[in-house]
Amino acid sequence: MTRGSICRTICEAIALRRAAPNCKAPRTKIHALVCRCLLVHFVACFLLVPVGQAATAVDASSYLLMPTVVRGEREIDWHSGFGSSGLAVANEVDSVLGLGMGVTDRWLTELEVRYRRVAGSGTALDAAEWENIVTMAEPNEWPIDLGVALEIELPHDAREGILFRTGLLLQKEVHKFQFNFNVLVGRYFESAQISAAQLEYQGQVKYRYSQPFEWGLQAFGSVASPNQTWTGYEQQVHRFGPTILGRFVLPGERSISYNAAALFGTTSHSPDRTVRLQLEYEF
Amino acid sequence: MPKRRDICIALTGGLLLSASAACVEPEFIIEIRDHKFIPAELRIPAGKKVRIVLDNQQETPEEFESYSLNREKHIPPKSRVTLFIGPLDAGRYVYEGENDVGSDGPALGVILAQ
Repeated sequence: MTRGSICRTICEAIALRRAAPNCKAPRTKIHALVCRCLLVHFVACFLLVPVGQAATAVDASSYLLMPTVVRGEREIDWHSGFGSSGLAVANEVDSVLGLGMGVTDRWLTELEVRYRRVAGSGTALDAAEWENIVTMAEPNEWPIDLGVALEIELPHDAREGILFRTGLLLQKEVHKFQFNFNVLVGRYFESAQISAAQLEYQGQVKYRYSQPFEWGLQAFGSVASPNQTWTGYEQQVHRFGPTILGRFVLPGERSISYNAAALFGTTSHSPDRTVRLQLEYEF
Repeated sequence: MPKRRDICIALTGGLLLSASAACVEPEFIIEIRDHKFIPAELRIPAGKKVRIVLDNQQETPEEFESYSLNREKHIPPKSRVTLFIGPLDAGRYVYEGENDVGSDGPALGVILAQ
């Protein structure tokens, strides 16, 4: 039994239970169904599915959204992440390929497709995504640079529904340091699996040492679970670690940027280790 | 104990004051003609935020790109774009323009903070 089917069964049982006051079905039957589902879930958790697998069901390819837009610049963006949580847990690789463009001085739009590979179950299309970033002012015009992100994600698995994600992107430059902090709220609609708003954060501090080589720290996290917007610390996802970044300028207004990080999870629901890499070809 | 309305008024006043303060930075203009930045060397006060207006008088687009200033900007033909720079430490900050394949190289410029 896969994790997806377990979740689906439990969701169906919960939906039945919620509908119980209005339905004619005897409560004992619903109670028995819920108990059976919970029993199946616990057996699966302890015997079939290693506990840490939930930990790696986190998008390992997460990357930092930036409130900067260059008009007319097009980019081919590839980012990938490898998440692992020990030998007993299936490793997971998420990869995203995107094509973006700075439509105006304030608006960047990007179309992406995401693939996910879980060890033992092969590679599969995970989602298609439309990402937009709108900046509110010119860099350094306000005390803190401010942008707004809006994403629409169509998961390949129709049971997941449609994800709308929005949030604030903050950036501040102090001498050679650049600070970024983003707060994002996502909500799945028409989803049989996720019922609560997802509250996430992203952060980065980097030292702008030179154009081809910058270094810093990155952090990604989520304080939500599929059924709760704010969960206890152990159910949250927190990952942080060192990062290196850089950009190589090529003739003809082209450039290649890279961004790599090794992230360490701090809770049981976070992948123990995530290695992420982002490459961008701008033209 | 201050009422919620008083706090709102104080916060709004503070925001308006900071917004008006943000409008008083000194302004400098760099013209772009014949793929050249004019003046090629611009002196600005160190330790002070400034507004730089890039006035592209060409029929072709131009770029303003500088790693040391952490800015990359596209300037459409016959248009103006505003940059907010600083406060900068005293020093020399190089920037360059469009670098097309086959051209003689990009236009170069320098901002001297002193």
